[in-house]
Amino acid sequence: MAARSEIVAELAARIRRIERAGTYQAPNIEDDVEVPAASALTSLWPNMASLRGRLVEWLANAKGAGATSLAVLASQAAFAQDLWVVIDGRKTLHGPGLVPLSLDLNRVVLVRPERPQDVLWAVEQSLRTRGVGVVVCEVDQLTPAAFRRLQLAAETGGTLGVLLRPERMRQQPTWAEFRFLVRPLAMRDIEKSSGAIKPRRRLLVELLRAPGNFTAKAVIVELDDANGRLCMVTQLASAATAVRATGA
Amino acid sequence: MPLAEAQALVETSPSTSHRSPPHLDLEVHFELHDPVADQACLRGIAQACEYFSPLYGLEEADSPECVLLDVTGCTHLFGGDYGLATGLVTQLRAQGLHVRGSVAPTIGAAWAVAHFLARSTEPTVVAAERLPQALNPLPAAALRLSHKTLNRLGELGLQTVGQLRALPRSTLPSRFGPELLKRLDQAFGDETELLVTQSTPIPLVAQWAGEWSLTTQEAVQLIVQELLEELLNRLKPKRSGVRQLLCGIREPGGRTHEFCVDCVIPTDVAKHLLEMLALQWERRLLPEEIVFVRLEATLTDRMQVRQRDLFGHALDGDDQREVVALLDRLSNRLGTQAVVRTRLVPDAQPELAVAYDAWTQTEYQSSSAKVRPAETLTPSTIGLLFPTTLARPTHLLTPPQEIEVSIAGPEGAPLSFYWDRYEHRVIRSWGPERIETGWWRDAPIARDYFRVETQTGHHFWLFHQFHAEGWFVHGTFD
Repeated sequence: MAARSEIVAELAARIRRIERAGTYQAPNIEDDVEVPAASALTSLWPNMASLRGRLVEWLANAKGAGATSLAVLASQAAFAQDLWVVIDGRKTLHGPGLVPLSLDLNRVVLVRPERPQDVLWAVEQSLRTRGVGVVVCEVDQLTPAAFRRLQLAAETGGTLGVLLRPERMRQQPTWAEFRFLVRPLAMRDIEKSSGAIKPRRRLLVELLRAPGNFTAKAVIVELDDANGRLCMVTQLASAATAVRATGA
Repeated sequence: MPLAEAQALVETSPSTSHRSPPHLDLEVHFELHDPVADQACLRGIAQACEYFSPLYGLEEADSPECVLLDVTGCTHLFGGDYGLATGLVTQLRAQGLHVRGSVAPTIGAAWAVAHFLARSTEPTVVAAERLPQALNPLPAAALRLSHKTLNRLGELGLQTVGQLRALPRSTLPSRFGPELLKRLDQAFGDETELLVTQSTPIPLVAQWAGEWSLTTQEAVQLIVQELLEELLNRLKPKRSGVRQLLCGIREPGGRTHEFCVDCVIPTDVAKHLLEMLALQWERRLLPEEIVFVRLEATLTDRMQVRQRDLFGHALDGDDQREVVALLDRLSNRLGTQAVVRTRLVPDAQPELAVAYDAWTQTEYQSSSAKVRPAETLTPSTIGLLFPTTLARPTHLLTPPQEIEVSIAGPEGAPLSFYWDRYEHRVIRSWGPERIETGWWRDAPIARDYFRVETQTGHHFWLFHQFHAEGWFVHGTFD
């Protein structure tokens, strides 16, 4: 009879094999090739539909960085037919800005709590509900206990929880399955004349945390948020390379 | 309303004071025409008349403007026809309404007299024997005829009811259609006209008054549960459920606390309603002693019937039920206006381009289409409203935040600005997009919007205001 440690090792190897098999191998893409939003991110996020019952964190360094658009675009592909609950504690989300991201506002329950302490309650209640596909919320501080509660609630309801958080939370422990960091890149290399160019912007998306794969990966995408199109600019091996390449 | 008519009104009532077109020196009060609200208001007025007669209703018209009462057998209680009419007019006038009242043997005659004979100071009573004398001199419009018929009569020089009655009856339908003869007969009582009565809903109330006050929450819950079951048992034969429940509790000192429970779809589950009440209690500080509890189902609706499979499970699964329960929980704990559906509105002013409808106040359907299509903008309409070069931000700051702009570029966009503790240097900009609203708005705007990209790659939506000079951040492209 095999030793206990051998069984554990064998199981671990099997899990790794399964995870590798599900990983999307990005093809060699030339610069500025337009691809669907989902495909642009699948190199980072292998199987979006399998994220039911999980939490995903999107970190951004400041307002206007593009994390909300990217998070919506990434989730929208797999959860287009589901009901979305968006908790908007700051009361700033603007419907006309979300429509180009292919978000059907008829399927969105917008929750605007008056008190900050109601935000987490609303998130947990929504995550715990079967029938809700995605719960999006902007949260700042989260205690480990509260974070764990959210993760358990997502597991119970089979709901994808999308948490939008500031970059300074990067060092905090997380119960999210995936953690992304979004950094906008100034388009210095593009002609600076006003009006002539479409208002596109480039975003560096780093994968900081993923199950079974802790190697940092990054892609640079170009987002046209007037119509929700993503262009894969380049495929980079690691976050450090990406940062060096763009001079950010 | 034509301008000349509105002008005449303004001249006679100078008290109205509101914004006017800049080229007219008038003080006009502008209100949007809302026929549904008008009718609802008129129904409320009719309901208030129940004191004078149990049979009341509205006139049958596309835009009713008359309340009708069948006062047969009621007038002696108020000192006769005139006493009843005077009492009614006085009561309505006390509410600030301009009223013209009349009592006549038929609905048609009462309508004609109220519109063309009665004075605003006192009601007019027309006895049955004096009906021809009263109606004959009135204009043909007193017969509630259509514009088409009235125009035709006018062309022929037939001005009064008396002139019409003098014509041979047999020729009227062929010359003017069946409407004229029908209205004439209705006015003079030769043809029956029914009053479509409006019934006052009987309030669904269950209440408890105790000799001893309740001091624990468990005791209150027990009483409320009993009252709920009583209410729901009364609704069961009608196959109806509760959509809105008003709960009132009274302290020994007489102070009353009231709160309302709203449900997305009608429910007949006492446990669910009790849970919603508990969520309301969590938001409030309940009194230490309670001597009176009252529950009223203020809004009821037919229960939604769902087809079930062979094993008794609903075919659309439990997920929809859970979603509805979630919406109820969120609405009752956070408030109905905090759980909303976003509706795009074709308005140029960004703050007004979105409306929010509470989920508890909109029609919820378990199917995929959860909103009436007419209320939403289609993607093609959105494309027309917000062209791709004029994308709107994902986050809109309300109110816009004023910023310091160092210097503006040649096309008007700022080269740098200071906001949120940082200085932002602009490297690219798109615009201006001018948004200017009309003078009829309470607060018209005139702004030049720019989308800017800063040196750090962040995108903001700024505008320059004309009336009160200044720059503002209005949104972020997050």
